[in-house]
Amino acid sequence: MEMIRRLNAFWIRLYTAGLTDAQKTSRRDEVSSDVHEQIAFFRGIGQSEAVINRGVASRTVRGILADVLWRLDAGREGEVVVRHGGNPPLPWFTMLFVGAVIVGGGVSSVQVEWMGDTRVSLAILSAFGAGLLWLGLYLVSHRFLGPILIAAGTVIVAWCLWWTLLAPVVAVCVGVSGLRRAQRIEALLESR
Amino acid sequence: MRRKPGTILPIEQELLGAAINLSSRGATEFHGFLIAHEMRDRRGARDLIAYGNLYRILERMEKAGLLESRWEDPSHAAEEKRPRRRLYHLTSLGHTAVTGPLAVMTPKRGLAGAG
Repeated sequence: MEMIRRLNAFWIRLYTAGLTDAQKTSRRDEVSSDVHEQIAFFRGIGQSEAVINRGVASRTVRGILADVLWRLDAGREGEVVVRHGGNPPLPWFTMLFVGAVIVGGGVSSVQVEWMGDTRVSLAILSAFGAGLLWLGLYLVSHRFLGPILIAAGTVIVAWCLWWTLLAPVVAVCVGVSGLRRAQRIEALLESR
Repeated sequence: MRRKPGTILPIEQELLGAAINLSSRGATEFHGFLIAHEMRDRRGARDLIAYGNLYRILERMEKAGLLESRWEDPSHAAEEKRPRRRLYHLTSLGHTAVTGPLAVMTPKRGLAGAG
């Protein structure tokens, strides 16, 4: 039972990431209350744990499409707030960028002749790092994932590009400015 | 499905009907699970409506002025050792919608996960 509840909570945390605190709290509290009531009710009438688990899992899975559509709408509301503050994160662009990095990395990784070249391998890895950094900026109002992804992306980029003179400096500058930008966006979202 | 002004979706009509049923039994306010359960009973379905569908519909209906909501007192929830509930009630527009003037839109396709 606990695992299904956690999976449900994880899914909610995932699709509410990057929203304002008010949006996140409201959706998380509401579904969490519903799951609690559902479990309590069906336990009360003597249903087995397996049946209750299936019920919670089924309601979660069947609602995924609606959750995603809701997330897109809710994200647009947050975007408007950010735009007014002069910090447009353009989530669609970020997602396009991350998608391109992942597809590019996937294609590159099957090019055997490239993988023998250390510099190419490091460049591919650094592109993944950049993708993580961008994803972190998109998920900036997520208290856990945002900072972790930004930090991980910065470290990977800096580590992978150590062999050029300029790259570590640029990577650190990008990382610092990314964090400052992230803090500004978060402050804007929370002051809403 | 996008709402046209002055119309109501079949799933919203169903939710409003369930809310009226609850109200006639003295429950003027309802939370998510309560309305999901009532909808299931009215429909005679096996499954409860999915979380994603239910809360998207409730939010849409609140924005349309058919429902209003409030969060219950957290201390009350704490006393009963459960998460706080968001309580909804029908507005006068919501009551009107159940009895008639708003047209029910015919769905072009089924609502995914409503069951």
